[in-house]
Amino acid sequence: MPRIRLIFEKKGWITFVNHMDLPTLFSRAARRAGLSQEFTQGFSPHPHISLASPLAIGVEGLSEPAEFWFSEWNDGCLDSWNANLPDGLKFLKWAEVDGPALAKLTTAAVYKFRGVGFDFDEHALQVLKEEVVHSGILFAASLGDKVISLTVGGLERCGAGNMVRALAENGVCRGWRDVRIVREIVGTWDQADQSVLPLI
Amino acid sequence: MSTQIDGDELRSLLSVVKRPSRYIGGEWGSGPVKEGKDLLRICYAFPDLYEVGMSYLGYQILYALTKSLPFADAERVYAPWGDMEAAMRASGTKLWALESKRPLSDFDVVGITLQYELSYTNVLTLLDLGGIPLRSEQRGDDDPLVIAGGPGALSPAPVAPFIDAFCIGDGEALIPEMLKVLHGVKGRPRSERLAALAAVEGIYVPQLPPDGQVHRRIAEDLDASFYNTQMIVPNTTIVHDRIAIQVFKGCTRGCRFCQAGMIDRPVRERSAASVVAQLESLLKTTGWEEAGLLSLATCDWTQLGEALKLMAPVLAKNQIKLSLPSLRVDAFSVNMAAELESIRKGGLTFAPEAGTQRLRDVINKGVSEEDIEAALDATFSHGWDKVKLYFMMGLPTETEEDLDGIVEICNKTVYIAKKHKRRGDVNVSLAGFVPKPHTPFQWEPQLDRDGLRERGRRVKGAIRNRKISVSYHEPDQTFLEGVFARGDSKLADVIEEVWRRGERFDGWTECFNFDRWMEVFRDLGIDPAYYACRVRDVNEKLPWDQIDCGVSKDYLKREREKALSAEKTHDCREGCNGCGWQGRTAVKGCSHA
Repeated sequence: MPRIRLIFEKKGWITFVNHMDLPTLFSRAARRAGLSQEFTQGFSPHPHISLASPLAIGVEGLSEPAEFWFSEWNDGCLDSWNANLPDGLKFLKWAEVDGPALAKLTTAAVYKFRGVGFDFDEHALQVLKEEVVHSGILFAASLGDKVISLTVGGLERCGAGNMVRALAENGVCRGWRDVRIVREIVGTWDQADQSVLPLI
Repeated sequence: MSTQIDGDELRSLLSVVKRPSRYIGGEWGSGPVKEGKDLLRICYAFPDLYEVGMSYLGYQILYALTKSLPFADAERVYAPWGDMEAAMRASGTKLWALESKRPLSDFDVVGITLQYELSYTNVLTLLDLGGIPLRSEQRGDDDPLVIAGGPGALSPAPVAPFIDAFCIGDGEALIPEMLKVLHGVKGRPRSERLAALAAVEGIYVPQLPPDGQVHRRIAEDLDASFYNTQMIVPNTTIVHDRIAIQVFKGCTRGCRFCQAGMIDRPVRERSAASVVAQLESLLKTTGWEEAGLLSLATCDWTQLGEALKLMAPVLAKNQIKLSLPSLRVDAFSVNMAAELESIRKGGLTFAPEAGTQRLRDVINKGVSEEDIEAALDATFSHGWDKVKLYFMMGLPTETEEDLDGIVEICNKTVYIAKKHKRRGDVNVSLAGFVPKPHTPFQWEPQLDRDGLRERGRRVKGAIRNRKISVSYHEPDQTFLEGVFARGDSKLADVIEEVWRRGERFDGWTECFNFDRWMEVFRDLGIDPAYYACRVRDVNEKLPWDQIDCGVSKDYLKREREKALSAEKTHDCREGCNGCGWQGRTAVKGCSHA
């Protein structure tokens, strides 16, 4: 049973679809593409899928990891799967893997924040840093060209929702409608290199 | 011509509402929007939430049908929940169609389905937010035509002032012709377009009332009619999250309370081969993991056994679950369900509808005491632990004995479960009976709210066994449903006024505000009980008399007489009962020969 890790992107209006809905969405697309997924055992079998830590509603993901189990997989599968996905979702690359579970490997993510109708400043950066230190792990943070870049760990506890709430509570903006957020990568924190390693 | 909604604006709206995926479109199987100035553009609007509207098979069929026509294109919209409506009003954003993100006012036609009375306030929300004047008489040459269909179109008076035209009958038969005619008069003055519509058989234009009746149009041969090989697959969970295939229209049983069984005659079956072929293509094109066969009483489909045999390998190969929505109350149906359900979870649902044989004969529910017992026996012997039982309260001629009969059936259910050593949880749901137009009970008074509440409490109070749980529908909602089901055009003022005062989503208990409705009735000097609870004379002129759904008034009167003397009418598969369709159709299932 090949265990296939894939990197996908989630862009455009489909970012407003809940992370929890993605397994069903991917698996229906796989059925349309004629791929043979492996099913879980038990009372109510469903396709065997594992996703990385939730991407908040409205946040774009440029390099999101996921793992799927198939009874068969070959080079052509990626293209036919992509051809059956709704607009905005696309698999970028794949690899057959073994070893630790996805959740163990996804220890860090890079977020980019941009204001809508206003520019982020040092105060906003400070607010976000404090929030990340409080709810997760802060690996790196910077402000450049009106964009705040945050490299964070503790992804299960530290999502974009907390950060936007902190911005609103500290008067930086009103909330979600005033920010655009992109999660550029989810992967493993490399302490030596001070960077996030991609999982493929 | 206005343009599509600005991207930043839409993003801003989506950022402040719950479940924004309702409003984004982009589902698999939707779009693409066709290019071309000459196309007739219709937006199918559903007056309830996305999750409800997306579960409606009718729109899945009409969407695919419309997109298959070279001269037309279809888009969709659903009623926005209160948070979205408030955000849209605050920012002055018009309601947009999901596909092109253009406002409803840009379309040639807005199609609205009238599935239940308590969605009428939402019809006004769709129009108003879509930038369309509420009343037909206020609309000009540049406004879309607002065309409604569904069961509500068969008693259109309460919403007639808001609707330019009603489609009476099957969309498969009526919609292609209607769109063709409208395409021919696209861009012409409104009066000309309305006149063109009124000339189509089966279309009722309130502003141009016909001399006689409007006759319902039907698809005679379902295998030969359009059926969809694609569906729109939602990006988020919806109410009925599965492939749906209609296996027949109509019903031959003749239950006297059932509007669907009267207005959708004659029975028209599809062949097993055609249904299985459709299932196979839908499995391929949608990727759905579950499929359902739809019709009024699916176990009555003569092709069911054959179809299940043909489907078995297809279902097994793709690990597809198959569901039948409605089980007949007998052992045969239960055994059928037992073969289908590889996993015995959940329970089975039966609708005996009434507690005694006498009352079941009154409503012509062809189910005997023995059928009920056999069904329950089979259920528990196959290993199910739970059953859900549906009954009605307030049926014509109902007495205390009939209510006690409900309690007896519930107790018997627990007893039968025990006999088979099953847990035997019984869920009882009591619905208030609402007399509907075009049925033998269309003249009967509806039991008032206090009466319904009292009878509900009586049944609930008489249940001692802890394995039985009883719930009854909110009588206030049932009452209003009855008012609008048999209402006249004066009620349009009530709908508009209560909507202006903020009433929305009346089918949702968390939104429904009965006091607000009663205030409006009082302020406008209209007595709602006049419509729901009054005894009507059988010779009284009825607000829906101009609509001929195929069943004759003579037949309804005869059935009413028989009902009141608890006399049964046999299933019309056993011989013609002369409902009015005899001689009017060559449909095979109609046994009028």
